[in-house]
Amino acid sequence: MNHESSQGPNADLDGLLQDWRVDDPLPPGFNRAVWRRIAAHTGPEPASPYQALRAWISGQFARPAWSIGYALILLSAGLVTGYWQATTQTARWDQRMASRYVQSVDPYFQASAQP
Amino acid sequence: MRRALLILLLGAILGLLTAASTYWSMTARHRAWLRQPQPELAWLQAEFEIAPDDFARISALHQSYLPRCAELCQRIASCEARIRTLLDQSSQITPEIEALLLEAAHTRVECQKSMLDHFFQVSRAMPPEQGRRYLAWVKEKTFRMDHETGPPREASHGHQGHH
Repeated sequence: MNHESSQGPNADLDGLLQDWRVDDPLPPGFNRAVWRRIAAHTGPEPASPYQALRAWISGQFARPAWSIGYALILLSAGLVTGYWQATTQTARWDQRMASRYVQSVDPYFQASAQP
Repeated sequence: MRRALLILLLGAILGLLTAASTYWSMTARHRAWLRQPQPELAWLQAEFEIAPDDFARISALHQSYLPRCAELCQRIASCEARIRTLLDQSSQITPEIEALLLEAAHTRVECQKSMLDHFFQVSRAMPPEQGRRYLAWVKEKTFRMDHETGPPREASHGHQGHH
């Protein structure tokens, strides 16, 4: 506590409070009753999995390192996905164009394609 | 929670944009080919690393070969149709069937000669190493019974069969 309170206008009140004594005894079984109430107290309601997840996400994303890591992972995933899709698609197009070239120069291929 | 949701959303958008831009840039060349009237020639140029001047010659060779190829195609189809009709009506080899079989064989030889001649001309218009690779690939693809096609391979394989 600061010293101003003992020197200010409340000095009298401070003195009275320091002199205050409770002489009346506690009612019988008071301590037991307090502990029983503490034991009976169940605490806060358990959180649902959704609430727990929300709390966990909020907690994690409050940390900059976690947010940066998350962004980097998604960036890498995007790169890999785009690369893989493009490689697959260009290979398919290469195959189709090679086939078209062969068809264009092979009379037998064209003849067999006729009805 | 709002901040976390915003980061989750922005991260997902970042991932999607990265995937789309990677795909877009990596397929740009192929998409440009597909917009051309003859994408197979653009593919040929890229696949066999043909210089623009050589490619102009090869394109001219290709265009001049196409009518000849179409004519041979018509002759083959007509010959096969007539043979099929005669075989449906006959239970033995008639002189007419024999003549048509002979004509079909002649057409086949003419077709192969014409095709090979074209392939040799095209390969000569390419850089030597690419020309050899082109010949190996195109012979493998055209001198086969099943006409399976696919991108050229480094090593040339023996002929699988003949027409």
